[in-house]
Amino acid sequence: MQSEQQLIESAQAGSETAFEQIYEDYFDRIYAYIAARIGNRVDAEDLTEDVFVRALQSIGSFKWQGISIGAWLFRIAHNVTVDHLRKNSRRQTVPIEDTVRTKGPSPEERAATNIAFEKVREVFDRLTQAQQQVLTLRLASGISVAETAKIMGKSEGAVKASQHSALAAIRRMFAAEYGEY
Amino acid sequence: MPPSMENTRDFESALDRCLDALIRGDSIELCLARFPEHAPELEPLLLAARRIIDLPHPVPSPELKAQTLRALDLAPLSLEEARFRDALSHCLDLLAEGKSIDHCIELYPEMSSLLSPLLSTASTLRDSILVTPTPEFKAAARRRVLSRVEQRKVIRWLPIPSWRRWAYRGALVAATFLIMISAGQLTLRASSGSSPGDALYPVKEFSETVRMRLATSQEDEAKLHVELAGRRAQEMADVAADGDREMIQELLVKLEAHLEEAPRLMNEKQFHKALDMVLEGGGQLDHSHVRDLLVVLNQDIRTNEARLKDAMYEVPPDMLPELEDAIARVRDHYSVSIATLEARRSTDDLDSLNGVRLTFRK
Repeated sequence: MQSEQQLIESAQAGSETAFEQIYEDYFDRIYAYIAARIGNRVDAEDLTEDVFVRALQSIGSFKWQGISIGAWLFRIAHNVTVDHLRKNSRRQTVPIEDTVRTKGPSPEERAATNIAFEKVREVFDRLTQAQQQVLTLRLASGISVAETAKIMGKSEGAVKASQHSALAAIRRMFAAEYGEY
Repeated sequence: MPPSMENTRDFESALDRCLDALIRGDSIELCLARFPEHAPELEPLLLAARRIIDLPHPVPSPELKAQTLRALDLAPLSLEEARFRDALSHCLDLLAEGKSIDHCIELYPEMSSLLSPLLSTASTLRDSILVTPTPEFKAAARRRVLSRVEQRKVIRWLPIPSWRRWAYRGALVAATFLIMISAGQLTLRASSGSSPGDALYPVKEFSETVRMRLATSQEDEAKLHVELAGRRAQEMADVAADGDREMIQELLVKLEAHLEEAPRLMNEKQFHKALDMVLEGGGQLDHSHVRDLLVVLNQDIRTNEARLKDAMYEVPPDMLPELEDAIARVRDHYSVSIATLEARRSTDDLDSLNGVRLTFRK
């Protein structure tokens, strides 16, 4: 199996197999990150494709300077997302059936779960952009603290502090809004 | 020149030099000893100036400092806090791998009461925001993206030999001179959009120097510095696409100098206006120029940040961290410039000069 550095060198040399490998390794996580941040499946599909097209266009100038290909891709994804949010001014509301994974055996239980999810998402949208980014990278994309720190240009300690305060803030805001958690 | 006018000029020059010395930290006595012939007139003015210089500057509260340190992760953590954050991070990793909350709690039983509610929140949030791409979309996107790999093999960038680039630049410079002679005004206008390295850029620099020399007041100079800071930000965005690291740093230094100079000039002008008012026995200090400049700075901080962030799509990927750092520095310098003007405006209120007027009446 190729190391990441070999993989990138092959992709830079124009190997379709190498770029396909990078695509397979990161596509789902990049998509999950963008979809969670913008809350719209259709736009997330367009933007995810855009991230990989941009990556392909500039992979020739990627250099090894302590940043992994994953961190680089997530930075592109972050810029694309921020740009999209700026143009569209606010996060869009997603039809529940489009994004929420159904849970529970009965329709009633599924509906109750969906309502709970919707409430949590509403509170999540009120976090700061940095807190949303940390939680999305950590929970939706499954990125480690060390990689999250590189993507965001922060220390690992700052990422740990941010995820802690963000989760505590969700509980606090949820309790204030709905009275219970 | 009539002797009285000459005397006034001498006095004004002495006052200017003493004010500069006071701002640097020299004593009033030292100034008076340097200009004994003007000492009786200088002394009350310098006493007034000293009181204005010594007015308290806004100081952040200890709470705000502590809050900022916590946000920047610079505040010392207790061992328990550090261990708890590590445990939470580990558990979030495990949740992302599909492990249960109970599995985590078993690893950290002593922290279960604190960990459990946060992990429950994290788990619900993860389920509510996690979306996976449909297999159809993923396959279609793969086809479209990978088809570009093929196109990329065909289209190759052919670098221009360096001698041809120099010849091209030389021709441009020669053409610029010709154009300047025949249509100077048009050239000046055309140069305003040029970037460092362009043939017309020296024309742009020259026109900026002339405009600065022609500024008729310190307020106009301050506004021009803010305008030029905006131009440097635009040029940073332009040269970033070429991967010119050195030029970005050079432009950053120039931008910083403009943003330092603007509030300095404006505050100096306000200071002298305040002194004049004291001499005339009162009045209302006009803050309109400061307000106007603050409006422009507050608009520019957003415009230029957005402009530089747009440039992030164009830069070579290995330059992204440097550009991000430059964006942060640009933002910081605008913030400092705004804060400097705001701080001065708050201490320039006429009320704070009441004590100075009393000194004069003595």
